[in-house]
Amino acid sequence: MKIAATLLACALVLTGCGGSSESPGETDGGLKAAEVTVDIAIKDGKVTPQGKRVDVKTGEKVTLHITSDADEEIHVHSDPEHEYEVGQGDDVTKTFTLKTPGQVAVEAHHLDVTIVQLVVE
Amino acid sequence: MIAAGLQAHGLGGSTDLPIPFLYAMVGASWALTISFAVLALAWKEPKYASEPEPLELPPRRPWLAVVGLLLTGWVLVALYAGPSDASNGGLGAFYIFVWVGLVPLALVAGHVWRDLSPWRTIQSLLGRGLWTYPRRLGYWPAVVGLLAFVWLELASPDPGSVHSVRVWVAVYAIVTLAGGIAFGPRWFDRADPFDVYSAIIAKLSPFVRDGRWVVHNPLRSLPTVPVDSGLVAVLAVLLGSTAYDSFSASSFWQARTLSGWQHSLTLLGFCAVVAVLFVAAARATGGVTGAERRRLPGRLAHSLVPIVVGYIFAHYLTYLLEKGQAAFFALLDPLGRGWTPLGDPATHYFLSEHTSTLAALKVTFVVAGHVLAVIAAHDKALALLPKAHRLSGQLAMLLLMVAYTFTGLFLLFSV
Repeated sequence: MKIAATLLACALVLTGCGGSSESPGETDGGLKAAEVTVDIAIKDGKVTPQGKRVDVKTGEKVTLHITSDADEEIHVHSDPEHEYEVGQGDDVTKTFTLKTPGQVAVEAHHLDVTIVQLVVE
Repeated sequence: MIAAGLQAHGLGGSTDLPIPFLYAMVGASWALTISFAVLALAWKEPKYASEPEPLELPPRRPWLAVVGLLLTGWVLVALYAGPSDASNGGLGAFYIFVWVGLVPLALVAGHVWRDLSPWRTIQSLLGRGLWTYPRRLGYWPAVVGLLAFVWLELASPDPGSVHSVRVWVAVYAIVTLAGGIAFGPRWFDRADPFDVYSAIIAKLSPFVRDGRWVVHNPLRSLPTVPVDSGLVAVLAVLLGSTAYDSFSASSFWQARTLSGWQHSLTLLGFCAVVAVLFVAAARATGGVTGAERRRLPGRLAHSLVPIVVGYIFAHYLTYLLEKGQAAFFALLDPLGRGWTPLGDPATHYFLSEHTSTLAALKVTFVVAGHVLAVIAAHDKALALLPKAHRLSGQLAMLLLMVAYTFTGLFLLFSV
């Protein structure tokens, strides 16, 4: 138990201090124009999905495909932030990319819910 | 535009990635191993319990009081005269520099909050207070203040609203000043939430002891946290609210549509669970009288401080160092006139970009806090418990600390 813990910890310290063990996606991600699409439906005062996790690579194109039966503001809490106004009966797509690893919440401002959390790695 | 209310901490922007499972496991196994090693192998006579009484604090340094007044004035101008949207410099100063910056400041420089506090400065110009601070109030006014802060930050309808923060700060300033004028400096030692927070964390500073620069083992100064009623509640609010902050960002919680009341009561519930478990574990020993047993939670409360600090560093490190950059630049432009005296304010994500380093740092903070806490509790238990119950009497506290740390690591890895 103790030895196993020590070994694991050594591995941790090595990867931690190196700080260079980035995912290989960074190297080949630039060549392939990978893309993630999230379908968002705002209907009868409810948003689908709600609170879902979506994996994204840094630099990858993220497209939100939004259909709505009400006026709503969609906020993407990245740096810089993105804000999209959608109106009643709209069917729109919005595209952006995320540069920094982290979790970026996409929120419906009026309904006050988190639609998806983009997990950027 | 005002940031959506759900956005944690009242400020926009991204949050940390979950730490990898392996890192959480390594941290957990270290915590468990060291805990039982301390119980079984560490010293059997108390080492830090017979420290001399803390020295009387030196008088407040006037130049720091002036700095405190200037900084407070600057932040208040930004908050009340600046723009009413998310670009307001007072917002970041309040949520990042006051609330999170207070912890590293106290660890490095001790309780300088006492010198900086503009409320203490104003109070000191007005005399020594009208009445004696009622003893039975203990730390409870500070508990209420801390709850009010974490509620605003984590469970109120719109923490990012400049208006809410303006109202909160106005009420805080009036209550703090009125209390200071009524009860004198003692009010700040027991009732000002930020002053109390800083004073407690400062006891863990390895560089400053009793207001003087002395490099020392922080485990020696930690037991001198002044015990008073409500001390456990102060620490429980700090730890419980940080855990709630992680939990409320989980997919499980976000998938639910809940009212403000449900958020507020859950936040309160997290703090209450931390407190109740701590009180129960501290009291779980044999061989003491009822009166002694009731005093045990307060006398062991200092051992919770390193766990709080470790978890707060793990949770808020990127927030302080990365969002803090934007907050700093916003403060340089207090009136929203587009001033950029230091050039283009771009944030450098030096921690977020090195995900492995960041995860390793977080686990290190949590485990280091846990180890210090276990040692502090062990040493104090040796001093407090009768010989026959010295080992068995600290078992419940040890298990609870392991549980706190495992929960913290689980939240860091799963949210």
